[in-house]
Amino acid sequence: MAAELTRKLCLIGDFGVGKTSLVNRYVREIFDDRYLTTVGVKIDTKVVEVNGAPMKLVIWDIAGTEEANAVYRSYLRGMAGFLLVADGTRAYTLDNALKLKDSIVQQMGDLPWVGLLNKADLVDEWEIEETHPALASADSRWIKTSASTSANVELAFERLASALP
Amino acid sequence: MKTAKPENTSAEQRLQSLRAALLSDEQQHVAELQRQLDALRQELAQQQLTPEHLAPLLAESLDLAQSSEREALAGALNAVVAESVKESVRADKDSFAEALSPMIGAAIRKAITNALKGFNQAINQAVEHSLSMDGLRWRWEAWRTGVPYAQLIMRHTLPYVVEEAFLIHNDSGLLVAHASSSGRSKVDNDAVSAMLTAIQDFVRDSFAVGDGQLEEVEIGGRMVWVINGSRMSFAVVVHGTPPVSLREDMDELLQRLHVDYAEEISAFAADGKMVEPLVEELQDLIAGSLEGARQLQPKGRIKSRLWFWWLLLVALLSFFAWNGWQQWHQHQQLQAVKQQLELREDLIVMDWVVRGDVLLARGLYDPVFGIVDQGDYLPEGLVPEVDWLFAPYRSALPEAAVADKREHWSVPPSVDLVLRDGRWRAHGEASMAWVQSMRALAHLGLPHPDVGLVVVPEAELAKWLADRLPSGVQAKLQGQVLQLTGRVEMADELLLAEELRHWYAGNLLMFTEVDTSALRRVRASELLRLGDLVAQQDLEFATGVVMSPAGWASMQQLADRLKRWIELAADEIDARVVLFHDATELAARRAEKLRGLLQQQAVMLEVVVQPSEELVQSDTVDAVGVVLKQQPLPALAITL
Ligand SMILES: Nc1nc2c(ncn2[C@@H]2O[C@H](COP(=O)(O)OP(=O)(O)O)[C@@H](O)[C@H]2O)c(=O)[nH]1
Ligand SMILES: [Mg+2]
Repeated sequence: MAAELTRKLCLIGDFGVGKTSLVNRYVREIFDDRYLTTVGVKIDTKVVEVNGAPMKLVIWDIAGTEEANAVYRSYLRGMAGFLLVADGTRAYTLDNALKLKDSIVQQMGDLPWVGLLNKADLVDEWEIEETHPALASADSRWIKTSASTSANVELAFERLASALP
Repeated sequence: MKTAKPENTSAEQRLQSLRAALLSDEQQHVAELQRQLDALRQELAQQQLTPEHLAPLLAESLDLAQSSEREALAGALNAVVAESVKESVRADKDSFAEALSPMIGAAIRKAITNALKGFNQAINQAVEHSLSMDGLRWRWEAWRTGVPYAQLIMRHTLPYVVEEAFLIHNDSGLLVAHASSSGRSKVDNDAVSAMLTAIQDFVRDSFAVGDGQLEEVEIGGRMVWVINGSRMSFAVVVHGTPPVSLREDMDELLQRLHVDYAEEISAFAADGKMVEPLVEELQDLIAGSLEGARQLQPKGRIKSRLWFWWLLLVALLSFFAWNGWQQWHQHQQLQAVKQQLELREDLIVMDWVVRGDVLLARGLYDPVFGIVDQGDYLPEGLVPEVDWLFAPYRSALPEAAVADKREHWSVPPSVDLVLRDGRWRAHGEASMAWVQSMRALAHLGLPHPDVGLVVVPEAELAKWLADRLPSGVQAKLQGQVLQLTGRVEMADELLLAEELRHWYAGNLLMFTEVDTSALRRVRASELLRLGDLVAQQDLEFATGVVMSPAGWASMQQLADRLKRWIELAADEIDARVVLFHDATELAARRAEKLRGLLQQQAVMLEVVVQPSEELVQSDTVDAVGVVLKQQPLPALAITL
């Protein structure tokens, strides 16, 4: 295999927002889901094209979000960027995600990230208004996605990939 | 006669005086000698011999004794020398060891040679009788190469190959370089590298063994060795039995690579590009191991002996390491048990010691709060013997405690708290959050009330469940059993199972059992696929209502697919097959025929034949349409 760039990125967000579903939509699975429950992390890879050159994304799907937890922090170590995932049908998951992001940026510096407002297919249960301060700004980094219909999933990953250093 | 006697006496007297006159000097001399001799005797008896007296004589007398009384001398000196050697070892070990080491080294070598001989013989005997193909081949090889048979066996049973080598960037878990003995490897090395890092982190942080690191993992006949460096870690997948020296080699190599490629490693941190020269280094390592496995030169003779000793050493070391770990682990577990006990207010642990295999625990407990059962606390097999003595005492707790406990556990006013049979029990209605917090206490082994009888408002529970269940699944609590109803996509069922596992793991359950028997699994995608296949089915009639052989086979297939479709849809769907035909009479007859055939094939569907205006009137008159009527899926109208 020709030498290619590799980048580590993590999925961050509350339990049940759809992180695992999003990754499973995006990649061909390598490891069994059991790793998530035992080791608390599962890793997949995907090669994308950025500016005409191949880049390999090493994607860490992490179970749990206990910031204080040492294992959790060591899982984030060395990532080049992250996907922040919230569940559009549960507004509080967006607030939690933003808090997590702040604490990560504070500890690890201003890493590139893209926000995913997932479960966009559940229109009837949608709880987050367009006027939410995180979404309203013109340069909002949030994208509405659905792991169920695949809508915007690829776009979100690729947008992050092209923002990586 | 009288005269003779006095004459005699006087003669005697005269002789006496003559003797005195003649010998007085001599007599004095003798007396003097006698006195000196006595003095000398006395001096000797009192051992007043001084070293100064003896020194000039010692060498001379030993020399003399050596030649005349050799054995007696050796015997006499033996005990003295032994004692003095002991003493000098006590006083100064180092210089003594220095002096002895040439001798001891030789002695050990001799012992090793003897032991190896024994080992070789043992193997020889063991294999002598085996007439396996390998055995015969090795015998031939031994004869051909002149290498002893026993050593050949060791060489053939002990070789190893480094199959894969990974250099992993510590920070990110990304792969800095990788090489494989088979050229291309089947697995995704980047993912493997990251997973190894994650498992390392997990092991280090979860077991908190200081800087203890994962060093070896065994996976299906392969060993993964991990060497940790400051910026990169080194992992190799080894097939066979590697010598411990491989680890040392790897250690050395890793250190050298850190120095030689410092710049490249820094560059990697920035651009994540695999470092080619490092790949070559790894390839060299692998090539070296391949050579080792193949080599059959006589110099392997010494090597294979070393093999044995190294293996023995590894076995012993891992035995001791394992033992040590076990003891440490047991200590940790016991400590945890003790802490749990100490947290209980109704209990006083007074004495807690582990003596060998026996745990001695003594203290007091208040029976009002229930009995302390060691089984509740001690994991099975933790200590073989337990001397667990808790004597009853009466604490001042019960009455005043109720108010105390209410405050301590933040019991809501809607809940009654009573102490019965030594257990705190809660009744009434409370929020999900409170019940869960009590369950969490129980899970941690902390004092907690029994909340089995507390009811959570239905609406709250429903919301909580709805947040967590896949769409389409409804839940209802029947006593302690959570009944799931509705439909779940097959693919979602796995996720649901994971979800349930999470609830169990977090001990968040209000229920002891989840009943999924009423849950219907659907396979929308499979149904759609079958629908598509049915749509593409061609049915060919020969003449009139007689089917051509191809049409017949196709009809069978159609029937099978419809049956499968019905099976999947189950009672989920109100399934109905409608055969449409165009306005011609022939088409109506053919549709009728098809209906009959399908029913013969036991397609348990309502098959309706009706003319359709929607169908394009074709030139031919034999068009028959099939519509699968069901609720959630779009209806299909197909011209056969
Ligand atoms: N409707 C809908 N459900 C989703 C979507 N993404 C995830 N889910 C469901 O949400 C639940 C939790 O998803 P999961 O990927 O395990 O979340 P994680 O804990 O963040 O990894 C599962 O039942 C998924 O089926 C989505 O985009 N739409
Ligand atoms: Mg997950």
